[in-house]
Amino acid sequence: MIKQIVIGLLALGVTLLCCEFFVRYSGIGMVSTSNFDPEIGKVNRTSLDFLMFNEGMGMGTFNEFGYLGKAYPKDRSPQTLRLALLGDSYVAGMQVMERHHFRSLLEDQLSEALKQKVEVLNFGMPGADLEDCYCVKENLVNGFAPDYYLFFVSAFDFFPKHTDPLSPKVSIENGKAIVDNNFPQAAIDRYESIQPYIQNSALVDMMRKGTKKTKSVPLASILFDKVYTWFAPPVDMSESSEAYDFSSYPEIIPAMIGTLDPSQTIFVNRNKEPLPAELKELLTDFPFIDVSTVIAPRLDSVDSPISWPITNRVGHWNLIGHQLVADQLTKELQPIIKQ
Amino acid sequence: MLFNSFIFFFFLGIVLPVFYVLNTKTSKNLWLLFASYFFYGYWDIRFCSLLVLSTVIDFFIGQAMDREENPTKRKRLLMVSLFSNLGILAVFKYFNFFIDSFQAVVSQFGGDLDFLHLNIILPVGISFYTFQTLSYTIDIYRGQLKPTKNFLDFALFVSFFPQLVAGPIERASNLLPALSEKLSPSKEQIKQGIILIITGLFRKVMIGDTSGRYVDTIFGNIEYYSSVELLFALFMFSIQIYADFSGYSRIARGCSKLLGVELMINFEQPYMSRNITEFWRRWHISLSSWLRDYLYIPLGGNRKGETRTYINNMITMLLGGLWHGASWNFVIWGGLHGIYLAIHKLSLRGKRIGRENADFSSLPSSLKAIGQMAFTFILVLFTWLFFRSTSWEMTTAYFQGIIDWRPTEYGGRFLIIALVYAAVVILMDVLEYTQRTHTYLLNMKSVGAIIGILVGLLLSTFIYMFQADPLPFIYFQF
Repeated sequence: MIKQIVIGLLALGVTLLCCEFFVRYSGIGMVSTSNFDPEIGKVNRTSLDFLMFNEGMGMGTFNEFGYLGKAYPKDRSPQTLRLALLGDSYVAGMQVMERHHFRSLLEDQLSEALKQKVEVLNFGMPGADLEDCYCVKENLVNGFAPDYYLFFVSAFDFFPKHTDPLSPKVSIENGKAIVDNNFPQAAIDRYESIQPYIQNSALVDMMRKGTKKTKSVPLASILFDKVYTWFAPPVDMSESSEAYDFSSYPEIIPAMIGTLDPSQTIFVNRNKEPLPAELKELLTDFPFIDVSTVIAPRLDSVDSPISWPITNRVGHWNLIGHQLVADQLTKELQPIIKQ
Repeated sequence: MLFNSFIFFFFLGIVLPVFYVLNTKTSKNLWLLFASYFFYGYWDIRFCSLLVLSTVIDFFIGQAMDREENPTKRKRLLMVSLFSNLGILAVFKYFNFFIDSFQAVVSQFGGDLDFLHLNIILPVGISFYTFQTLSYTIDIYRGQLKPTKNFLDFALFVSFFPQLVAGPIERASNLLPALSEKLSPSKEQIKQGIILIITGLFRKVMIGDTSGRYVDTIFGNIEYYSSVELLFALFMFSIQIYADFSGYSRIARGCSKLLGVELMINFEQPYMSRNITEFWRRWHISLSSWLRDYLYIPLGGNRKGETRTYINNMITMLLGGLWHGASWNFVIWGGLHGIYLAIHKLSLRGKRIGRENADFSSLPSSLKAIGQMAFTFILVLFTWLFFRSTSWEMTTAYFQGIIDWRPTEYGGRFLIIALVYAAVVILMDVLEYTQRTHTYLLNMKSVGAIIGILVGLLLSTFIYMFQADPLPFIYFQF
């Protein structure tokens, strides 16, 4: 009996190892893409290829410097124009292949339009709000000395949620925004206890994603499918703009914006709706590009830039969306840069 | 209800214990009938009405045909069955297709038939149960089967949930006698059933669904992908359709075994076929044998001369293609296979090909067999393009995309992915091929090892299922 149990456990281990190999190398799942840096908190892992299926198929690389896409080192040629993209999952764009991402398209189109070598660095991070972007800028992006910082924002990004205790926060000292890189030890310990597993096992990372899914979808609805809806009314998990009073943004927001250099910073509204006037008022000193002007008119067309017919979802920019955003940015950035 | 959903396992968790507790044949069949209608109605309760209609018509026609001795009247009764079953299929599946095709011609002369277009949904698995019930009345007409007098048994034969929506398309002569007895699975059947369900689920979910993600993305946006990526997607489709369908058939057989019923094997390592004739003996066996028995042979088979044999073969393959879906692409797919079969038959010059497995006893014979298998696979792969494309325009765009050669920066990554999928499928098939069983795990001496492997496979599959949305089975649309 004991012999059979031992053999059974061994067989289970070997089978899980084989499945792990299969899952990783077939692109079914992948290991965790984040790392913890004691100095600056959660960062992307370096030199890691990714393949993700969400609304679409995303394929690319976290380069050796820890940002997405083509790797440009910190040292740069003075003849090159360098742009840094900061924002959330729309900027990370892990729903499309790197060559279809607006970063690649923008780089090519802008280089051709300006007759100058342009480097576009993608520091997008899924789930990042304005505070997160600000911290990334201070902790990481400044080191790459870009000529321009492009902050991609939506109205909700002005209301940080502080969901990840291992992400740096912004505090105000003497009226100035300061990045606070202190993290709760308990959260560090918790992360370090699971880090080896989620960074080395795609199956474990899948389990973590499954657990995460239960935060947005009720567990019972995953397990009981339609039967669940017979007994429970559908829950609307989407963000509602009615829940926000856009004039009562946290005080760190104007403090952060106040420290940014208007000659180097460009704000881009990445949402499909225009930015509320109360928030736009905060950005009057900065060049402002509104992507909603090209996205919104096409929402109901067959070529909607945010619909994903294959996976039957609506959300991030699709292949058409990335092209539209790249075109819009190429058009609007030229006068700003020439000026 | 999808086999690859958690709710199905809850469903099974209720159906099986109650089934085992019930101790009379009638109560067991009644319970299974209720479960089967629940299973089918879970998609849309309205679909059940078609099932009831088909059941009632064929049950009473079967009875009447048995009582009737006049050949003309018997033929008339058969016609009623054929027209009603095929009529339902024609309306729900093919009406819009024929209207669209006719419209293409009429529009050349300024006509418009758009008003005839029906706004209807295709009931899941309609082609499968229609063919199954047809086999019942045809067999009675031919005198090969005595009709059942028990309506409950017949209703269960039509709606038996493990194979209702995607086969295997069972013959009445096989399934009805089993359902006429009190069902009680043996220990061996339960063991085999569990293995088939778990390995089938792994195939369907971990291989079929996951490879389908590449296929759907690339086929859905052809113009954005390079030639290498298009070829990759075509190869992945060959993996997807096989894993998806064979996985599903396996779960169906496994569930059925847990109820004490043996269903026919639907797939026998088709990609290890050495020629196209062998491929059709190994691929979707329940359909190809149905078409042989109820279409090819009634057309005359090979008994009416060489030319007629080729014509009969082509008609069978074209209609077999059309069975898959209301699209000219499926007809072309069937036609291509018809041409392949004809060329192969011609090359044989009257020689019959045996049913034995390939000879791997020596290096030359192994290399020869592998070469033949690879060649057959490439022929089949080419036809999958027509099968997967949703229109002729899509097919030509796909071809164009491959011919206008464009490399990809991800060639290495796609190659590894393709190789990993191929390795897993080949490993599973080689084990089945050499062990000559789908439940080869039972050949292992250690029970602990069997349980360990099954738990590992099930755990991995459930982890994936939990964080991903279940994908419907490809053949549901047929």
